[in-house]
Amino acid sequence: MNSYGGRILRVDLSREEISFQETKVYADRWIGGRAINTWICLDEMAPQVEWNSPESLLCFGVGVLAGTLAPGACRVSIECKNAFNGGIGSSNVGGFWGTELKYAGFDHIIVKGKAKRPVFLFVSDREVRILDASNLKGKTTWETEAAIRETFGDERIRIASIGPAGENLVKSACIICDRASAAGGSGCGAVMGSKNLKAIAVRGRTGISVADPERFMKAVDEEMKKVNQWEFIKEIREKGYYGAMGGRLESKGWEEGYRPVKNGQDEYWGREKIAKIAENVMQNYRTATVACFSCPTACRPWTKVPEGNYAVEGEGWWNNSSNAFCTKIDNTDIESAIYAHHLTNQLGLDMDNASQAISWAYECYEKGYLTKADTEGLDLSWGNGETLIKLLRKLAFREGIGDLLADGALQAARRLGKGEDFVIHVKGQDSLDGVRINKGWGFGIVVSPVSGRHLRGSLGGFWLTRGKKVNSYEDVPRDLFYHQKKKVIQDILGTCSYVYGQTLEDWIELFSSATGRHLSKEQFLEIGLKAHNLEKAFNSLHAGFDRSDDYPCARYYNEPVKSGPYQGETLDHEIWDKMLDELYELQGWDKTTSLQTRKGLEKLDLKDVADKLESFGKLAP
Amino acid sequence: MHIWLDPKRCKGCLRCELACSFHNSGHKLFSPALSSTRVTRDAENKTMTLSIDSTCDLCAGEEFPWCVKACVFGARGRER
Repeated sequence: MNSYGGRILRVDLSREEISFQETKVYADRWIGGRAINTWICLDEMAPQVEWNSPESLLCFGVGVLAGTLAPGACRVSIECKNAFNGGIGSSNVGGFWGTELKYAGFDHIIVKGKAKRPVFLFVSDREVRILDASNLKGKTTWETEAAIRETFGDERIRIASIGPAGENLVKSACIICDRASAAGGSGCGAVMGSKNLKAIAVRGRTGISVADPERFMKAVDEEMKKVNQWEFIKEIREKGYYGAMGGRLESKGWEEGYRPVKNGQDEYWGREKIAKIAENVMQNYRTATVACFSCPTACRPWTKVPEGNYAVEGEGWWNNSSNAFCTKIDNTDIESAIYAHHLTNQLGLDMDNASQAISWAYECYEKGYLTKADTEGLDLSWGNGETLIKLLRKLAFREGIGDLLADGALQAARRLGKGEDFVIHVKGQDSLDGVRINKGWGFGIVVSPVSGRHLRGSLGGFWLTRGKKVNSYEDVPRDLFYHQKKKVIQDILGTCSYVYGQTLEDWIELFSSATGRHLSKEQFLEIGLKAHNLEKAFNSLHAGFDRSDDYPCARYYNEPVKSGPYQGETLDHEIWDKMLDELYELQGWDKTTSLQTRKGLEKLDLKDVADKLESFGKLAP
Repeated sequence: MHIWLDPKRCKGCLRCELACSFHNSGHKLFSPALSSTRVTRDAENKTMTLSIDSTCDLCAGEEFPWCVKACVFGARGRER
């Protein structure tokens, strides 16, 4: 199969069995990546299966264009049952792991079962082995990678692993690839931990062919021209995404709601504080920028605190980092924040989820719901960066208050019996983002079938470039409907949001010339809609989500923004209802319940999904 | 002609390896294992090490070697 690895690896850890399938079995209908993974989750997991039971699946799927010269195509989709809420779990990660898997001849790995002892998987083009990982137990992701590379004596082995957080089934655990690429959200690291699977090490020495080499390289050249001519490309390559775009002191993002402050009490932080963590300061800690596989953008800063209590160096620092470790807990100590960023990678924690649970705890402390008697003496006052570091460790190891926070802030509030009204979550999953000012951004996050996460079709900066006001509701459902589908296509192909200028037409040309298979723009968008419907069906069957789950959490729905240029900004309840009506209508879902309809599903050739939903009473009447 | 390498400007994207294997493998394959040039990033301190092995023919017949054309970061170039 041109542009594919060609095979799917199936691993049953309970039976210690390995088997292989041709990717073609699924590719005709679902093409690849996220769509194939989601189909397998829906098709093979029974609704009553718990996220941490041996019967649950953990699916890795590499994008169809990954491994070629298609700019920035390297990404992997990871699907499973969401540990927070039982709905669809879905994550996406760049780096080098996915392409190595394709060079080993595989597009997907589907893991089932639970190993009797800690194990790791070694996958190459020559062999697949389940190996003992007793010596890796408790190790950080960085230590795990180093130990595996040393064992094999091969620096080109690429590793996806979990840290202590995943081993301890912390729900904000993620899977870390290549030390710093995080597959965050949905608790996929906890799912991996529940299988006693510490790591998947891959090494591939085969090659990827394309159907029409000349045409493909012409399409690549066209893409590269766009990237190289982008007005900001020079600055991004020099400073990374944060330094050149979102983290600049003068960036509008600081006041447009992308920055949740003090557990979402506000969405504006004040210029004096911003100036302590923005690019004007970050430039002192950035020593270089680096790229993911095949990426001409190189948006990743290499950050280094050279000395002191927070001495550390490593890859990455994002807008999310400045939210998670600064604005959310009111922390202006940049060195503690950079340390926290790299510590989450080492512990295998997702910064969005983990920081929400922690900022909720800070607010509980402010309100007196938690005291030093509950926190092993830690001072959780706003702005305390030292406590942040200690809490991250306690969280990953479920120590003391860390155990309270380890199942997410909503569960913690219910255990505590207090503080549920200020948990920032989407469908029960801890959520990083502010949603009150930027309406397109917020609506996309709240209605996302994967329970939050701002990259799932959420309308960000590109929406505003169409001339919208940041707080405008105009066209939000219609634009979101398009971008949700487009993101599915991106996750099928394995391309990245940060490679500038790629249109749907560009992806189609790359895909057609690489695979020899032609799909029209309409056919691609239909695949996007179908995959989106698979996620919705999974949520109906496994989590029982309905319309009531597509509303923002209490604080965001009811409290206005407190300060800044958008002081007083709220969400209009009547308009939110109308937006839901419009979105459901576009998606072919029932307005009253949000459930899917037989008519809508059969129009998409998803009769099998409609039959399944009907048999469980989850089809709209 | 020779190819000069500048590890300080390299971002570690490996596009050079892909371009090399595609041009030189004889089968138009994307495969770092078949590349005549190699980029290694030290995981702990991001130091890049760049090399070209003896199988490199400088893309004989081409005006520019493919690895040079593929590098957008100025980490390699051609010198006559």
